[in-house]
Amino acid sequence: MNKLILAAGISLTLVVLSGCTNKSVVRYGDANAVETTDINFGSTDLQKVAGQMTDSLLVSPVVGTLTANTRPIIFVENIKNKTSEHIDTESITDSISTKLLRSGKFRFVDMGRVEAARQQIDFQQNSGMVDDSKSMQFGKQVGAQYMLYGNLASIVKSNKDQSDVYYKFTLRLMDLESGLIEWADETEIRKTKGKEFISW
Amino acid sequence: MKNFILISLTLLTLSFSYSTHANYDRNQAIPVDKVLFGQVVSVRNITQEELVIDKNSGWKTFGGALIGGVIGNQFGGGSGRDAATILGAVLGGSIANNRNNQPKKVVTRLVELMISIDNGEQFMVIQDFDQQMIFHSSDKIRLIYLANGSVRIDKQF
Repeated sequence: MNKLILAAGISLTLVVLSGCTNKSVVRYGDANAVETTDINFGSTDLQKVAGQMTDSLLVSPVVGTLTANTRPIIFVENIKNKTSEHIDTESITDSISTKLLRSGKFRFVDMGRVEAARQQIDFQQNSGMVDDSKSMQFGKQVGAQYMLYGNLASIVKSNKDQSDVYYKFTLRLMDLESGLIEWADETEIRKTKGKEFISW
Repeated sequence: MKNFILISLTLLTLSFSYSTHANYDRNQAIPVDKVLFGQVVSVRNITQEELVIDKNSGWKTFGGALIGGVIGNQFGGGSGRDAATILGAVLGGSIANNRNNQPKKVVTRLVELMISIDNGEQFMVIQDFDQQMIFHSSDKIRLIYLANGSVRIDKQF
């Protein structure tokens, strides 16, 4: 009888313990929620940088003058990443250029797709498969008037109790013909990680 | 039975140590001295064994570049210096410290990168082979001088 009770007890314990095992759970979250997984450059930083820079550019009086009667054409040069982190800076410029395009005030040329465009026009011109009267022509593209470029730098300090990361993102708009910087701004992010005492 | 266990353990040790390579934690915010931008001119995968052979033959040429200075010092007693040669962060166990202790079959995978910086300067950098970031000719790179004294090459994107 005792053996039976013991066996039942062990079985019950095993069932309870098996219910406590870790399971991987996938959930959807808010893409705009503040992310504080660690102190390194993250999605919230990217959104903050892109948002602040776009707002600053769009409300600038100089840019208001430039876009009064025309939609200037911009070429985005890659952001120079001067931090220790491998950050996808193209994602920052993608966010900025998308927001600027959606504002309706600017147009963009994409240097990253020049070769693909060349291949497509070459196909239309030389494959014999496209109606000549409807094929795109070489030499009709429009050149950029302005270049958007910038830097991302960081200063990192830490001791045994605290880590501090300061990011500075600088963006500039240059008139390609005159070389003049028409607009510039910078945004800063400070993140700290320290130990907290938990109290009840 | 004892022999079988011994052979098994030996094989297990060798299989773990034979392909030692390190993956960098490239997403870590750490202090930086400076960052230079450029592109890869050439890539060559090398091994610690080759470095040792090169050391024994007196640090002559290695992949077309003179190895001296930094690597010579790492191995204790290299001759010749070349400011354009940099030993990047080698994570797969310090070569200098471990070269005598490890079995001869251990191969540390390294990558030798000839880098052309935007200002025209050229550097030869040797660092750990990282499967997460394989370099090719013409890749745009960042030459990162970390504040801890080490140097690392990253792709720009």
